[in-house]
Amino acid sequence: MVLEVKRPRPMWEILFSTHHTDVGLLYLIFSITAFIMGGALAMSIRTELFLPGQQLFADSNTFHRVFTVHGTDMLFLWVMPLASAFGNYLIPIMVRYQDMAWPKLNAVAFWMVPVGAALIWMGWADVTWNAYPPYSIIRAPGPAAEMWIFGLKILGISSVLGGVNFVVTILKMKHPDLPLMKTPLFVWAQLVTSLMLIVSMPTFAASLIMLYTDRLGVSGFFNPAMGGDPIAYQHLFWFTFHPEVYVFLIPAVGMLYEMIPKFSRKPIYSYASGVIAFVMLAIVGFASWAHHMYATGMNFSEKTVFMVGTLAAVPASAMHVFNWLATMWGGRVKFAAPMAFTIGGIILFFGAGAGGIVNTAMPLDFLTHDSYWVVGHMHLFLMGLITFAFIGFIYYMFPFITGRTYSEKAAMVQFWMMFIGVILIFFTQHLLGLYGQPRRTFDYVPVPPLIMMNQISTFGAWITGSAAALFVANLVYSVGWGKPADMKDPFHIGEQYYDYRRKEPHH
Amino acid sequence: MSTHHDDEEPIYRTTPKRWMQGLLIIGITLAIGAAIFVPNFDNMYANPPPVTRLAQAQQSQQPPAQPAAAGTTQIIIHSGAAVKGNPNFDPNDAQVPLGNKIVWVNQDNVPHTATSGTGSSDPNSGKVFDTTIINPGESSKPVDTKDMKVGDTIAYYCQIHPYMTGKITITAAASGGAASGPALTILSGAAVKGNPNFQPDELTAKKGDTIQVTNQDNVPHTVTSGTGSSDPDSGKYFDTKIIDPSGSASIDTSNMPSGSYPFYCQIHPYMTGKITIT
Repeated sequence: MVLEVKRPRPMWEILFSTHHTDVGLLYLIFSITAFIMGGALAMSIRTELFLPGQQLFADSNTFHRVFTVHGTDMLFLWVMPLASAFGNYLIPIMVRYQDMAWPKLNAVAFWMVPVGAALIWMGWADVTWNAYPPYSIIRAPGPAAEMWIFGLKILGISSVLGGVNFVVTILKMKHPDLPLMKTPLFVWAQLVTSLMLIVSMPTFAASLIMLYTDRLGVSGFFNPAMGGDPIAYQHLFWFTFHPEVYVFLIPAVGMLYEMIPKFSRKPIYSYASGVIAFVMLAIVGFASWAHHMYATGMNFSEKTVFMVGTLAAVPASAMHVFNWLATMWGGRVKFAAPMAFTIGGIILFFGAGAGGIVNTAMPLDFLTHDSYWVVGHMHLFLMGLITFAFIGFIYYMFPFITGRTYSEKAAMVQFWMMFIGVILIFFTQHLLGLYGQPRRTFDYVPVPPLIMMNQISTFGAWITGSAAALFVANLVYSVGWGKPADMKDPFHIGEQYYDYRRKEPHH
Repeated sequence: MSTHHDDEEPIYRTTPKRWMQGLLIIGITLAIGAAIFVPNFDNMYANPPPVTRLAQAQQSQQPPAQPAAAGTTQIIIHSGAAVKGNPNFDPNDAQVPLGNKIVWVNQDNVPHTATSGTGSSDPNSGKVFDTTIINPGESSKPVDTKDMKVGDTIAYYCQIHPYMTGKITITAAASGGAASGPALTILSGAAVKGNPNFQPDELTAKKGDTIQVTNQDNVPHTVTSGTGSSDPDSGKYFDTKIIDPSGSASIDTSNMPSGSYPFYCQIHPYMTGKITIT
């Protein structure tokens, strides 16, 4: 479907290939599709909230089902597969090996993702992406909830298989002349992410089974009527999914480490501090899970431990940001679209991080808990930093993948629309939370401040949605009709680009 | 890796035609997916979790609770009842003491009716009673049985889903006296703060009545006299202790002087109500 070196291959050969760039391409196309579908749901959610009262959806149940699929889709079908996509493309190149360690396992890991996706998109569960009991056990209608549970189960297994493959490729298949401390920081990002996945995912896998047997009524782990404890689920869930926040974040950080030195035409300011910050994030990621649960009645010392554990992530994140700024400082920065998305992402990351400090301070957390503040905060991370880095990196890799150039003008228009749109949506949502609008609601109190802020937020969503449409149009047009790229240095920055000859399968 | 000069090799880039074929594969896949999920959107959301059916099965093994005379008989329309083959009216064969009022509670997420007769082709359909449409989450208007005879068996069905059928059997009115009394119901979902909890919230009883308490929620509750756990008189007049989900208890009022008695749930102290003894 894309750039071929020796001869164009039939479509099915790419589809069922085990070559790392082919699997990477499948991951990439899959995740962009999921991004667009999840984004369409986001548009419908914001449109529903443009005015108080019922607008677009038949009832609140439909609303719950839509935001559940939106959240599950964006986290597990957009963010995680996209990180795997570029990991597949670049890790074997960067460790100087011919392919992933286990190419067939790699293809299996990919093909599990559409299966899980189908279960989630066919069922439309209403359990939210957390699936907290007791609701998810005793009320959530089936088979939607069962399909959600099995969908996530399959996605979890897929990401563990993918993670194992990355770890082995990086540690065991690395060229003997290449020390780990000489590999690009992108490799470190994938290594740390994969290790975190392998450590954290089994906990959630177990709690999904417990959730399912609880729904069947054969066990009562989380069912209070059978002596279970719903809070126990929250501990298990967040033990997986707080580290998972860094699993979402770290690949994006790794991508910024690829782009910033290239577009600044300067080496990374401090390679070692980047490695240290990755490892620190991976460790403190496991020491902060219960900061999602301050309002569950934990005692003061527990809350203090998790507050300190959470704040420990601040120095590590700041090390990354200062490293980026110091790399850009004094460089001849070329503001092509990938770099624009990078810098926009860093600015939004700063906003998200500042909001995060408010959340983690336990007295303040009680003001923001379960309000729109949380929605704004976590979206500013996922949309602000992570999605910006991903879109920038898609543009950066575009010549490598397709052999063509994208439209720079359209990409810059898209950047400014998204940057303004994201600020309008998510900064406003922080304020909405402080005004007391609870999250996950279909309706809100019809008072002027809430109506006005919801409309600003929805307006921002429409701008961002238009920008996403422009993004897709740019990609679709440029893959077929874009100008052929200079494969040695497509951005004309005088820096080394990736070896496009890797795209010719060797098996 | 390669030993020859790659720069001299031609590079094949995707042609528009090939790219359109690729997009077509994605589009067809998504269209097939949509063709499956759009018609099934509601079906995927129709069945209550199996654990609730388990609770219902255990409940139906117990002898049916004595319906209170001069009271109300509740018939539940289960969530998911609209799907053929699922449990629908519960109890399916309700024993209604003469003079009782019957109320159908629609716990499903689509509208239903309870209309006397065996089906829409029955010439007598709707003659004895017809609740008309009961919207999701609502209860029907009470159907009076005082014009019926003891021993009557009346079949009824749902006009919207004719495969949903049930019947009621009229039994002799329960003898009056100490056993009879007003009913207090702990509503389903009562444990969630802000939801309606006790029905009626303020109950009036004659001294000597026995108040029947039924827990329709799926977590345990208590009915304990007093205003809260810090009340020194908490539990002084009555305390049902823990009532399990779908369980019931009774409150004897024979030792309570007339007056009003606030009560609450010891597990969920925000659930409060009041009993007035006359």
